[in-house]
Amino acid sequence: MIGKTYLTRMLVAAVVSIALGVSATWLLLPGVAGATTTTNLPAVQPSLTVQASEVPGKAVATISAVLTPLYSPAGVSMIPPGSKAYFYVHLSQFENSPLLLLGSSPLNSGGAARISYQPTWKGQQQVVVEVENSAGKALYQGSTSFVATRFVTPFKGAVEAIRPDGGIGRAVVVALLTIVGLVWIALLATAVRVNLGLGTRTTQKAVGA
Amino acid sequence: MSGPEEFRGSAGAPSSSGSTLIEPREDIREAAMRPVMDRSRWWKLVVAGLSAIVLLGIVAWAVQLADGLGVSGYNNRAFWAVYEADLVAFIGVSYGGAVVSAILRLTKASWRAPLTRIAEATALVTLPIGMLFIVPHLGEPSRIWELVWPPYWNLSSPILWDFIAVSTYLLATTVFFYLPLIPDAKIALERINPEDRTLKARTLRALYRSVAGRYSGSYSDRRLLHGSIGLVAIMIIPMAVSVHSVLSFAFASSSRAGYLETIFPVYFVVAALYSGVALVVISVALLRKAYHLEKYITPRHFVRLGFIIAAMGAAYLYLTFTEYLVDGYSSTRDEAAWVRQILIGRYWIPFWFYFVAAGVLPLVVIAFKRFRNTKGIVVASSFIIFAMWVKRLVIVIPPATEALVKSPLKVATATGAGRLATSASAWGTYHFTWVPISITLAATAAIPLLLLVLFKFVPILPISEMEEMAEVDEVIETAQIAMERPGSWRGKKVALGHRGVSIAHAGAQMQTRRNEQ
Repeated sequence: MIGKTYLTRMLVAAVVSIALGVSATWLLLPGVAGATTTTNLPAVQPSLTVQASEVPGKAVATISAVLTPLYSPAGVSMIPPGSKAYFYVHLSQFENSPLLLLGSSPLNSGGAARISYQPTWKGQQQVVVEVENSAGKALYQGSTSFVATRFVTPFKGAVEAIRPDGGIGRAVVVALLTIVGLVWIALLATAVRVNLGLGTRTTQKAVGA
Repeated sequence: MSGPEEFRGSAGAPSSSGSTLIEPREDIREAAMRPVMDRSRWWKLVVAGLSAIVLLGIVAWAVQLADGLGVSGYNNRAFWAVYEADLVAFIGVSYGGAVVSAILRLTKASWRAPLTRIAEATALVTLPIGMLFIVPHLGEPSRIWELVWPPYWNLSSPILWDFIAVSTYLLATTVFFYLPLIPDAKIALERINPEDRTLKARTLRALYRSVAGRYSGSYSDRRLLHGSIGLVAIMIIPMAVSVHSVLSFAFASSSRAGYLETIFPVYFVVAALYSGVALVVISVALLRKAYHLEKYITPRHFVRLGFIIAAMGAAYLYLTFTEYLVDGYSSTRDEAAWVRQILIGRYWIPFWFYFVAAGVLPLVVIAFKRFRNTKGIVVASSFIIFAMWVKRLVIVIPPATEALVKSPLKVATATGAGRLATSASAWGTYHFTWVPISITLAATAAIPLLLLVLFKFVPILPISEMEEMAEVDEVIETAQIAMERPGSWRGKKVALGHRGVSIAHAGAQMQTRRNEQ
């Protein structure tokens, strides 16, 4: 049989436990308590508007991004210090359509960033802009697309010209090809020499004898 | 000097220059010509079966031509894979035959004689097969023109230099195969019945006549031939080294972690020699069994080739250790990821398979007398061939699948919305499909196929060389008896002189034999 004293002790223990639990939660989560103090302000989700267009007559496009609004209703800036806008283009030629970084630019005081981009293929180009804080955390993102009618081919230019056949490399190439040529001549000459030489000495000696 | 009648009888008779000729050995000649004369059905069946596999490979290549490299498992995250590994592996195995033969010739190892023809033929047939892998590797076959036609050459491309080096090596291998064939062609011509008017007999006669040329078997002819073979043997060794070094440049001259390795030239050369000698063992074993050449190719030959395999295997194992040690010790971010993926990551199974099958197993086989026999060495060689191909995959695929453009390249999770998922640690994947498997199998089947066809026209044993060696053996025996019985010394000396082999030479040979024993 359960005694009265025992029930009383259990009740006291339960009350103390609940009191301790509530106190600990209040102490450990001050933010929650803090957040409740600002709930009277409306939540703001800034949007990043991206625009891209081709410069008329040139194989260059301009991509710009503008963040609005710049301040929360409480007057807090939505652009943390050191944040940057990163500009990407979708490589639709590859699986999963990965994004290639085109460049980055800090947002100006008006919340805008802009870069110039030379398309390397013709047609639809989908660009993505992402604003990241100084720790690299993505904050806002926007995208748009435009049609490139002009492009700069990546397949010609200085890359091949500065490789071994230019400058001192030319001498190396000539020397290597000369060595290869000499080896070919030596091999073929050996085979021909054997073919021409066989039987001749025997015949000469036989005649002499 | 055009008909078989002129050739007949010259092999064993003194020439007009007064020098004596090598004593003909009927048993050696019969054994060497056995594949040429053989009319058994198994040859046709095996050739038909191998041809079917080769045909399957051609069909697979046609499918790849129609649908692109994607059907072979290639993608933007795995841009090099099985064909590059095949290219390295097949050209590599050709290296062993030629170099082993060249080294044994230059060191005058008398036991080499029955092996040289098969070793050189193996080199000759595997090299063009390896070269052909450039075609599927390039994807677009018309680009071959840019390798062949100098005005289109891109001198910056290591692949072009590969092509130049391998073409030069092919010429050297052909000359190296052709020169020792000259005296044998003359002997073979004598064995074709001049009355036989069948197409085969006429073809063989024309072939042997053109190869033999004006060879008479005289001392001066043999001296000219031996000198030329020696010269080509000297040339072929540095050439083979250069071929495989240049082949490694395709990797080593790139900036990709796992390819940019200064150890690669020597690593590739040793790998080629290692797998090449293993292929010689398998070729010799199969042809020995098929044409009953056990009398000439003995277990002793396999054991000696096994010693070469063990030496090469240990060297390759050490170089593998060195490669990963250096990369792991001073690793950059990319190298660390690559080494990790090979040793304990996604590529650990193929790597450790190589380690066991081509690293440890051959050494165990050679180390223990119980396994050091024909069967053991052939089994070890089979493992080496396959495991070294797997090792080439481990060399080629992991660096090609590692994403080097990490920060600027991201994988989009959604278009214009949501966060972008970074692909900094993402690795590409290469999946085998039936297309590259069929092409690789076809190339593998082409080796025995071409060997079987080649030996339908060419003596399988180097007759002249073996007869010379048999002669030397006899002289050594005579010299040995003469030295052991001083009383009969004078008579034996005259006999030796008449044979055209000096006492000094016989003594040197005898010393070599003693050393070998």
